[in-house]
Amino acid sequence: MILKQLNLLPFFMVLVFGTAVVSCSDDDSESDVLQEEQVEEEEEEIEPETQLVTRYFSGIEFGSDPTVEILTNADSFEEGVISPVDNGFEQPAWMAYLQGEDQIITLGYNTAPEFTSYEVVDGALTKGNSFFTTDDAYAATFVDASTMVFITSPRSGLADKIISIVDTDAMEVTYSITTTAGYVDVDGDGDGLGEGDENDLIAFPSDIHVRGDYLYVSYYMMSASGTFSTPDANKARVGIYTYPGLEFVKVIEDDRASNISRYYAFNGLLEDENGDIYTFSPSSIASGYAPVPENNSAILRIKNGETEFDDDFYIDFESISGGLKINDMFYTTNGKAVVRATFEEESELYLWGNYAPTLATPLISTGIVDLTTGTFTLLDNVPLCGGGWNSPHMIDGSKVYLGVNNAEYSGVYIIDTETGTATEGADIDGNYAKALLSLTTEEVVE
Amino acid sequence: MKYFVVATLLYCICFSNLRAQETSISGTITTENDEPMLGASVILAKTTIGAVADENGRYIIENVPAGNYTLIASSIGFGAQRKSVVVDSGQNYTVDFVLNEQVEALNEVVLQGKTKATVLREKAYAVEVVEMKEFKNLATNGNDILAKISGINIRQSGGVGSDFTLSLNGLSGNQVRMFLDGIPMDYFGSSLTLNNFSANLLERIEVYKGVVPIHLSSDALGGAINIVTDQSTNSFLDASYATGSFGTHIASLNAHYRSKKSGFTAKLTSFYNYSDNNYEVPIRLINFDEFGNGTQDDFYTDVEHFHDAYESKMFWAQTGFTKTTFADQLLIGAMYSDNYDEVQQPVFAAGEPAVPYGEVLEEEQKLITNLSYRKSGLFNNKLNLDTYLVAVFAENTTRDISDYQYDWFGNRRLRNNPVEGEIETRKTLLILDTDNYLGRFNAEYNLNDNNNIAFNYSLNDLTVQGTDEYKEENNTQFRFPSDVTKQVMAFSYTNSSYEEKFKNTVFGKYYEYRITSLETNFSGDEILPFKSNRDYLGYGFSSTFAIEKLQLKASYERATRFPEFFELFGDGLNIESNPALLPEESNNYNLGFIYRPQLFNNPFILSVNGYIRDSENFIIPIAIGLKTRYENYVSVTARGIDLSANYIIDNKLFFVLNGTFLDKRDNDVIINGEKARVPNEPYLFGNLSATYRKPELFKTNDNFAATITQNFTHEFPYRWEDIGDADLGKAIVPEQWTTNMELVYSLDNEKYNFSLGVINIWDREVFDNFQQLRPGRTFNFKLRYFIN
Repeated sequence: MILKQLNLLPFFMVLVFGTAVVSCSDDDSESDVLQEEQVEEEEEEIEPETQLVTRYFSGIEFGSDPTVEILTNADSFEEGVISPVDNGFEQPAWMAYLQGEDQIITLGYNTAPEFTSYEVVDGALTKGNSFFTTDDAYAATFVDASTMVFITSPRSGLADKIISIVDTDAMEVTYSITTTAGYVDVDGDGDGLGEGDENDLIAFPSDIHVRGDYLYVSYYMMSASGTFSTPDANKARVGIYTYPGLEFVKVIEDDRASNISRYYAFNGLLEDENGDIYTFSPSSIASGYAPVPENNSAILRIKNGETEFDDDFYIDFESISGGLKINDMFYTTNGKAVVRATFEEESELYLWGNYAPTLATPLISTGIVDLTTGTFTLLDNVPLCGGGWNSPHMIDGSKVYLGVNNAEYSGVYIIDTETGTATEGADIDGNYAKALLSLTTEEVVE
Repeated sequence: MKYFVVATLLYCICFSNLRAQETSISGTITTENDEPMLGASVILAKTTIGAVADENGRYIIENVPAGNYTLIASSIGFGAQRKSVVVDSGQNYTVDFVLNEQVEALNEVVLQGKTKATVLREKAYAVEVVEMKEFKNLATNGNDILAKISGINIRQSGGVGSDFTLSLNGLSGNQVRMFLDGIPMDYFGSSLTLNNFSANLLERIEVYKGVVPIHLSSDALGGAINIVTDQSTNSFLDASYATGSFGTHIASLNAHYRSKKSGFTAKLTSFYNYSDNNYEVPIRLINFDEFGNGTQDDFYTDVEHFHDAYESKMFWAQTGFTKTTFADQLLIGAMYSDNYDEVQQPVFAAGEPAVPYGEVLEEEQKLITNLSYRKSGLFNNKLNLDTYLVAVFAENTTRDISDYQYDWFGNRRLRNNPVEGEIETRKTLLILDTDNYLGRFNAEYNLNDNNNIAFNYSLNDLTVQGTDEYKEENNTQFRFPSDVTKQVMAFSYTNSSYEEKFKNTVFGKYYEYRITSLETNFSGDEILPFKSNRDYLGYGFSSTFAIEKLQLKASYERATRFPEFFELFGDGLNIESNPALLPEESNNYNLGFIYRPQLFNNPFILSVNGYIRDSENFIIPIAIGLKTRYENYVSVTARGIDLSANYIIDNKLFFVLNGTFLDKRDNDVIINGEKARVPNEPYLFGNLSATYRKPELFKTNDNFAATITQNFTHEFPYRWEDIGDADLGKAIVPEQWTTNMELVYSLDNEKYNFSLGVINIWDREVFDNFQQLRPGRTFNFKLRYFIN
């Protein structure tokens, strides 16, 4: 779910523009078939008429014993049922689904670190090449239609993190570096385990993002002993590297907020139309932080052209929302973002509570935050959600298509940040949607 | 521990009950192969005094007046035998008979003679019995033989010694209990399993489908398999050595001495197994760069398994007395066994992994002591006792501590992260110490000729404690002793009427289960004490009715199985813990018949059994990445039919056909409006074998046999059927046809035996668990020496 807003903005603008054209011509605002007028310049050669076609896909978890994941074709996220029955690609393991510009990349979690590309070929989603990693990747971003960057990390010990640049056309790693930026190695022995290493900390990546000549890596401090505990959580931290050289520049910190994003969210650094990057800090035990960070859940900004947090920008989300904590945030347009947020008791019982997709007592509410005015609107017609790892979502202009799931329900809600409304969309036939994805291709009109 | 004391007391009681009888002649009637001959008769010549042997081949003639007698023992298909005896008043005499088969009656012996196997088959249970006589000369193990039985499917993850799952009528793994001479076998651990027991150490294998008689007392959900080692009471030496493809060497030595005078008996049962398992598999290799990133070849390279070796050995010495006035069997024994198993690849992963393991290891050492006592015919031939005590002390090691990543050529590269192991993102070196005490007391009392009651008590107490210097989660989980105690009390009543044509057994079982342990978390910094104490009631019946050549059978059991220790608390590596597991329960129904007509003047047997297994709280392994966790599954129903047909032509050609259809549905997963088929489970499979026997091929007293077997397994989905598009790379385990061939030549009345086997003649790709490849064509050659 690396839907990085700027990179996909042209695509969405085309989509929105195209939709508008279609809406005017045939009154069908739901249509996903976009007409493009063809200009015939040559007298003799008539270029074939083409159109932009958008197809939708969902990663769906189905069944138990075993649970199986299917990268499923979907007619629509707005209505009907998205079902994996006789539909889509069975996946080999527990997967993450990454939204590229012209491809979807699946990534096996933890035990099967293989990146596999899927593209639309001749009108159908088609499995392409793949590559493997040895270490586990915890964040990835698409720079353009041919480039992806990902970062691996240890979950215990102080082994190097590896940042790699991928040619996504060939599905090959073209450049890698190692880094230990941000690590706390108390006795300097580099291993993070054993005598004298009790307080060693891994700088664990939660998201990465390329803006201009820099690569930004948000990370949080996690015990190197393998306990997943986060004793030093009351700062937002971002490591900055050059891009594409991947040379370490510096670490920036801000103690108004806490750890940015959360474990395996593939989300955390959101870029708007102006090139400003917004970050969110959950400060939540349900989002995996123990002990509970003291700073309030908050939103920070790194302005376009800057490599420091913006001292003039700070949204105390917990205060404006009446005590909610951000678990996920998706930027749309015009300074607005959809937020999934948790009301929790700050007790051990809530640890990892936002990672329970089919929970009978879900914790996560949905709302809209206005980053310009610093106000929050709760959408109380969206059912509470059990959460998950990388939140299923697809951004389309001011709309976010959001997977909502708990023990009783699994489906899609459409949140429109312009109208401030939420409407129920398609149902999911399965345990829950792990990803909502789309690909648009230019195709000849037959 | 107090149960142990109770069992010991029971043990003493049974000894104190021994009483001498007054002026009687007793003994056993067996075949040359030491099979007890139920129904064989003994009479005192020129009198009407006599007796009929029971299922153990034992007979007793009581109240014999003093005098000189000639005893005549006889049975259909066997030559009669006479023995003289001078009887003094107040004395007891033991006279044993060994009857010889009449060659012209060989058909009868195989198909109609009441060997121990036939006796069992005629019981009302849905039981299959495999007599090992046919297999002793083959380089096969218990699994290979069981796999031929209808209703049974064995899925092995690799070569010799690899993990296997046995499924019987749709229930599998621990749901089907294995017993070794009546002792629950799972407590013997991995060094003693069906796939390393050489065929010539075994006498027979009994398979009880769904409904389990009370003397096999344990909690079983879907039936039981009892492996019976050589029970011969004659002196003999049986030695064999087999060698085969992929560096396989298998040796066994089975020796038995008995003094006919005193009944003193000494037994040695031992085996040694070794295999490199270096079979070839096609792999799309990955070319890793220095950062551990790499792309996979778009072609396959054949590579050898290089870290898959297996070694196991077992020595079991027993001594005591057999066939004496005070005991049919009183044996005390000690067993040592060990197991060394290299792990080449993830056990639970789908397909052949591109990255193999190079140092992952599992080891086990066990010391077992056993004491067993058996006596039948007490109190005027009314009471039979059978009891044992077993103590097991084991150490298991699970090792995943390599700093290296291996490729398929055995080359290795230092990992970036030294904390990680090959399997997990952290290392494992789990050493578990297990103490296990098992006891059983079984008594059968014949009220009269047609009514019999039986009582069975069994106890099983397991304590596990261990350390892991790498993985804190394991270290915490096993730091304090965890204890699991199971007790089963059972009672049965059997009635036979209409000249034993109509037989009924009803039984009840009471289970008690206690567990004391703790729960911890991923980082091992939490301890939550865990205690559970449950009891359950089971019950059932079995019924059979014989009308001439047709025998009808029906049986039912309400069965319960408690979760195993490793299902609750994991194995520290591949299996995650889940202490909240509930026992699984099942209603098992069988209805079938056996039909034995003559077909063109040759014997034919057709056996058909239909079954339903209606299970709740099914305990099932759920794959999570490369690991699994056992979870309760709400409701699964399996319906199926087993078919088995035997036909023998002129005592030379033997045909056997076995087939199984299994429709196993998850009642809670609905796909296309139907209850979904439970995935990763074969549902249509069978085999057909033909054997040609030729005695006196080259000279007198030699024997030749050739067998060809064709196996079939229908394709089945690895994950949920119809979920995902089948044309887009859905994981399907393909249809499999394999052919095996075995040749056996014996000399000197089977004193010297040679066999040659070829498994998978056409070298087809054979998949098993999780789409992993098994070895291709495999040759083996076995020499066996047997002296009686």
